[in-house]
Amino acid sequence: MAPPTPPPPLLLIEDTPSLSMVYRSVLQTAGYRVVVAANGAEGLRIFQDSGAVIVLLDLMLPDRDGLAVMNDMLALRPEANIIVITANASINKAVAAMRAGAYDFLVKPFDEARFLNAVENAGGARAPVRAAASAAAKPAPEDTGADDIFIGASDAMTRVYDKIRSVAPSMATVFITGESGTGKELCALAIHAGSPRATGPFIALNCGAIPQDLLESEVFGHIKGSFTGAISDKQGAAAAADGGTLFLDEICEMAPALQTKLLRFLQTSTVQPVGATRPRKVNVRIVCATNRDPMDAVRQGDFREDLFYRLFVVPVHMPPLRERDDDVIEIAEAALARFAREEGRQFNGLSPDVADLFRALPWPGNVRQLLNVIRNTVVLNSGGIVTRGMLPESLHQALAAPAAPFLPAPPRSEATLDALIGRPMAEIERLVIEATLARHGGSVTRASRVLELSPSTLYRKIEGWGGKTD
Amino acid sequence: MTSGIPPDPADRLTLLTDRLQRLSAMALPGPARALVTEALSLAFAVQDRAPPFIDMTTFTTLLELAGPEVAPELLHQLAEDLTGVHAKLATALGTKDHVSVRAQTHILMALAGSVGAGALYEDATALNLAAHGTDDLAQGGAQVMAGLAHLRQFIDDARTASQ
Repeated sequence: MAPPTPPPPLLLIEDTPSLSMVYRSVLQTAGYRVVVAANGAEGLRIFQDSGAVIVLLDLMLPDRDGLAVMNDMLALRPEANIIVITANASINKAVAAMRAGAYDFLVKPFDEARFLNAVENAGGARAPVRAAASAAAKPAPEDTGADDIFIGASDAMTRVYDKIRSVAPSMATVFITGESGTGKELCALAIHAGSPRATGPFIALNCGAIPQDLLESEVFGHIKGSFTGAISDKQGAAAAADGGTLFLDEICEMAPALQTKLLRFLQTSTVQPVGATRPRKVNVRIVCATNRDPMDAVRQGDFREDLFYRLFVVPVHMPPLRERDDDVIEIAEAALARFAREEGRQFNGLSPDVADLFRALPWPGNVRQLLNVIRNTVVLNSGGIVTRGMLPESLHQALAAPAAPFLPAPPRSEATLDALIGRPMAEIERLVIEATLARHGGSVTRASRVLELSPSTLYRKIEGWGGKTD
Repeated sequence: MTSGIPPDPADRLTLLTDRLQRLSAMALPGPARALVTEALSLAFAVQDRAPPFIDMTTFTTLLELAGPEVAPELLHQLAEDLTGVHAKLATALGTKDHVSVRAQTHILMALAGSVGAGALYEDATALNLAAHGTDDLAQGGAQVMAGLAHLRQFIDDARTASQ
């Protein structure tokens, strides 16, 4: 019987001899077979001859730009996993490399744990990284799960599907932006479903919905007795997502102190539960999302710039429903069929009049708002073709006043404190929220900032009132 | 006592502290003694606050990672690399060649950071960023060159000690 073929060596391309020596020593001690090149041309030649599928590539080489060397390698062997190395001052270049198909990036100076973790992950990845640039290597649409998860074939969504297909198989961190209700979590799920980690856990954490003093424990876990109320050990979301994907929603709402810990986690791939003495290594892919403009959050000092660059590797923007052409009809029809089935009713689609109305509405609450309208219609009507008369009253008002389209009721007054006393707290809350929304022209984003609530919380409250009162 | 003033502020502070200590051992009139005592206590306080030029934990870890067989070779190579950076950076600063300054500080950032020379790493990073623009590099360059000289000396001492 022939002996098993040894795996191809790991290729290290680094022009500074002492650094090359350190990397090589660490890799060899960890059991890797390593071949070394000191410049781009030599690296490319060894890459062709050795069959290397894991490459550590310094982006600053004496003879060629590291990014160009990487592109040549991916053209020759698309399945190669290339980890780029750069200095902190050139972080933008590392981000560009990730977008062009790098598997991961390391920032000098050398950090042994992060270094070995990146190499280990690259070696353990079931599928190689595919760059947006290598269209030929894109998996078939049915492999990604994106088409199964989303409804809609608009140009805007087709671009989103393409991006999900490109990025899903890689380890690259994905930063999803978009208004509330556009499907950011579904996008994260589609990325997970299309990745080699699909059989691993998908853990979602809403950073805006958890009290800040509990967030560290929720993300990193805690040890029994580490603080008052820690009555047992708790596994945090980062450890629970080991081998899978950790989805951090409303990432811009994270407290600055925890942002520092998240950055450390991203750099070292280790978690240290509150009260624990030793860190634990985990293998997690990060997908995060926000409905804010993340650069604006950086400018306002709410979000660390270094963390932003670490996370904002592959951005995906979820388009608002009003920019998705006829997707609104497709989603409404699918939701109508599903809700009717659940409620035991028989509906026969949307009337042309309703379809026109749906196309004309601005849908500030996006798909979430649309689903609420359809649910409301199915519950409050017995069946047949959906006509305008079956729709919630608030929707007609919305068309009449597009600036504040889905306010359940006009603000009653600029209530003074005296006028509020004696009313139930829920009513006071509603009055204050409605008055704030009115003052900000119906903008949920601006009102939520003033009220220091997350926009999604505000949307949920407004939707809740819409069902009851109109 | 040497009459030359070391370029590195940390070395200058050490020298100043040394001189103040000698002065305090001499017979001084009351007000002068009070001033020397105050200056000396301040110098000690600043020395206590200043981080060490080399974080010895980082440096020792690096040599341990290399292993006992490779460590001497690594020290030799570090000395060679730093010598190369020193020569090329000096030329680049002299000719105001921003591209070369960027390239050499890029290497220096990696080397200084890896061996635990935190202050030099910061200075090299600042110079690298300055070299991306049109800023005058003279002051930052002088500081980096002083730190680089210090690091070369440290590595040479470590080589001697390991032999």
